[in-house]
Amino acid sequence: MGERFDAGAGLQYLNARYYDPKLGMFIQPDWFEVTMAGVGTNRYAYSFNDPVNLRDPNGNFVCGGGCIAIAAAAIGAFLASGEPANAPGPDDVSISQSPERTMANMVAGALVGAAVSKAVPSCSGACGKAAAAQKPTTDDQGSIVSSDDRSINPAPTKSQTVAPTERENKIHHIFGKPEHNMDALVDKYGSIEKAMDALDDAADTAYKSGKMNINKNGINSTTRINVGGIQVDILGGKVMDGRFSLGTASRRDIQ
Amino acid sequence: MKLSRFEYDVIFTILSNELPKLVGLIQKVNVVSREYTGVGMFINLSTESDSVSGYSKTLGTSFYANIEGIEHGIGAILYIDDGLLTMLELFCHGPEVFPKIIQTYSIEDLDA
Repeated sequence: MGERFDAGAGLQYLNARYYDPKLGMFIQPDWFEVTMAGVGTNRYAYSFNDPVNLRDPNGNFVCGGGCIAIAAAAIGAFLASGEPANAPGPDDVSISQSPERTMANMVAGALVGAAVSKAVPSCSGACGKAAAAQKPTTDDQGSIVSSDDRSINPAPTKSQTVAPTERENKIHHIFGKPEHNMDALVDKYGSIEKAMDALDDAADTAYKSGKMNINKNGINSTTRINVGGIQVDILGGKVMDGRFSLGTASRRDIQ
Repeated sequence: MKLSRFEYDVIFTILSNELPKLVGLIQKVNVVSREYTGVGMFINLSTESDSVSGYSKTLGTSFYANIEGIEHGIGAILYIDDGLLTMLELFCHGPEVFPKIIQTYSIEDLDA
């Protein structure tokens, strides 16, 4: 990919985000609006899962031959708005933006982007750093409106106990965070999808055999289960329609 | 960046119930970044303290919050590394979309 490889972490650095070659996807979602050119609905995918024909040199924009124009317009929109388009906000604060303002930012951004495109010879380091830059902003009460906030809205996949989108988000919530230390499970099952399936089934089996620590609200507190010979802490979660629905999971406290 | 009111209440509740000796640290915590996952949120924290205790643990087993619009409530995990607060994880117990705006909520101690 022509960018730096972090051998210690086993990750490829693509300027705006890290790419995990073992998973075949970014470990952080693209935080730009899914409808923007070159972003896509699966914000973890590398170049729309088509690395042969497409590339993503800066971690934010998929491109074939028209990389510079797409990236420059989007960077311009970003610079004009002062924040990533549609960046999600934390609690307490609504960050909704009017369509008029978004369009105005895009038009202004396209103009700025055109100027940027003349100054940037290729969509590599310079594009990536500009697109990756994030400017924290606050509202009148000092609450954060946008900072390093990022969201995902990936394409639906298979469903078990949750609807497709929620299941996909749950997979990334549990397996996408290094602090959860779930690599051993992914290694054992070969992919995060299969690891999630195994985790789902093992948690449900533990519940049905009476091993879950269910409290008065019907919520699992913390239960350590065995998933194919690997111990995992199941944190939270609830029984839904006779099947256990995962809250989150981690191997962080397992020696 | 400072903690939101909800984040402050979550951390205060967890520490009060599970590790009271660290409650004072909440005044020294800042938010480094927030990552929204659709079903939860990771709030990365920094703690302005020189006292490194070597205590590393995840807390939150007793925490439960009722949120307006979330039928099955949410849970929280507080990460402590070397005696410092490093991350707060929020997640939905059920198959629901985690709210981007939390204004009305109540917190329960499930161990009480």
